[in-house]
Amino acid sequence: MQFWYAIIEMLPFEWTEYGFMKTALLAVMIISPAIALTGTMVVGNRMSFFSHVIGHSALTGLAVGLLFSAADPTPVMILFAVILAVAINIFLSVTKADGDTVMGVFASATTALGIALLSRGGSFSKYTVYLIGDILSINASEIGYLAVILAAVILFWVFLSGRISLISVEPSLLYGKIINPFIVKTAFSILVALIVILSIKWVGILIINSLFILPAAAARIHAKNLRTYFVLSAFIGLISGIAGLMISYYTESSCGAAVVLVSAGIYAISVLLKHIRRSI
Amino acid sequence: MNNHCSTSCSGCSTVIRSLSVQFSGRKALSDIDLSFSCGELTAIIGPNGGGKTSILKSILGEIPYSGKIDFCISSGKKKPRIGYLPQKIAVQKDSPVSVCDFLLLSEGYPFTWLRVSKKRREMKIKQLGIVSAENLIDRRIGELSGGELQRVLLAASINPVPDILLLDEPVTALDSKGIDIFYELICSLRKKFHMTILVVSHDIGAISKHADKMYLINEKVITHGTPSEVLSSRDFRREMGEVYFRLSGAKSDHHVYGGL
Repeated sequence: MQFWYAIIEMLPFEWTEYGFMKTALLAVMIISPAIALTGTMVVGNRMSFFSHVIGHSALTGLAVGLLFSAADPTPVMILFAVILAVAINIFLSVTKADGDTVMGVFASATTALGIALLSRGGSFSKYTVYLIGDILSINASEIGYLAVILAAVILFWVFLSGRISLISVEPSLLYGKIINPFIVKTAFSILVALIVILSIKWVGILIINSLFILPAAAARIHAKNLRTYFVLSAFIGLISGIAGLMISYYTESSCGAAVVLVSAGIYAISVLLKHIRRSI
Repeated sequence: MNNHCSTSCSGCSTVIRSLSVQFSGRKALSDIDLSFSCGELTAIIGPNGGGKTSILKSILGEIPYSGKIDFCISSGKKKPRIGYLPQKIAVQKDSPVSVCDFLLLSEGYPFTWLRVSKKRREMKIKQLGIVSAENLIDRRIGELSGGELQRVLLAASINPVPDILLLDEPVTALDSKGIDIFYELICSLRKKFHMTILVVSHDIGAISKHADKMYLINEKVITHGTPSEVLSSRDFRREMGEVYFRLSGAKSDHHVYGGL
């Protein structure tokens, strides 16, 4: 950490004086590419509603977690999200129901349950930090959580990104091969759940899904193959993360929102560029 | 039988005994027996919803079934290698997966996030050459036309060379010239690699020119034999309707212009 602070202090900006900004910058640089990279497969497999469900279910997870342990609800939140992720996959595979509708049901049910539990006694307002998130509140020791996420994402990517990509083209192509698509998809769902829960406090329930979707959506427009898709998406995630943090510092508004607005801007420009290229 | 190119070793065959499949209480297949010899092209025909695709999916292990499937495997492996060309494949139009990526992925190569080595790329171009699609190597699969996609999928399904190749309605996206080229390609692959090939098809005319054996399926095995035997049978007339029958009758042998 000391090394990191030393590097940052060499930059000619006013904000480098503040310890929380330095920590937040490191946090953003770890988490936004990790989420963006995972997002490539969320978008590729049409799972954007799934990450939305997991994000919103964090409210219920939080409520349940607080029942068990008021000090640190995170372990229970993780457990809850993982169980939910597996449950949704089993439900979809058994009932063959329409994913979109099922997600809609799960999303509303878990959100409502979370609100109901957390608002007992009229005390919901203390949990608004989970809705909006606050990256500036992260402290140096909590960077460890984010490092875990990054490590998990990289590990998953090295070995399973190919399988997930193949599923995104046609799931049945995996039958007759070694790995069952259901297992791959469930493993990926668990990864998404882990990312969401471990970062929700700093990113915010209302915004996390955009961090998954937007960089990948923009990268998809330009990518010629999977490699460029992955690299571009992670890069757009990184750029939006850093730019968003800076913008939020100077405008004194929410960091998460600024990050999303930057990546939305990149997406809009991407679409525009593509149309211009086409019409030339 | 000039068009046939059977290379069966007559020693090994995939045998299916009393296969039954149910979908939410409704019977798709009940108690059917089938056998496919290696080196032979077997066509499975029958009316819509008659359970043709269910046979392929049972062999793939994609759906639950009762009954027994014994594979013929020459090389002493435990599980047969199955190549599969699915019926409908709805590729997302904006999918960033390139043809080269796709071929690598479908043979189980997991490292598409790395730069593809020149040697590996050359191999993939060669693989596409089998289906005369070398020029598609760098295209995104979402941008391919129906025929192009089908050729790429076929190239993927025969690498690594499978013991059994399952083709589900492989020619729906092709025109009549393309269909003949496609089946000639399949025939040459069969000669070269001595594999068992199963084709589910509506296009009875085209497939009967190339198949060695034919099964007419509608929940049960209605009839089976050589294409000419099946097409001239009473059962075929009853199941597939008068139009098919008249056409097959008019053209004596098995040159039927079906697929109406």
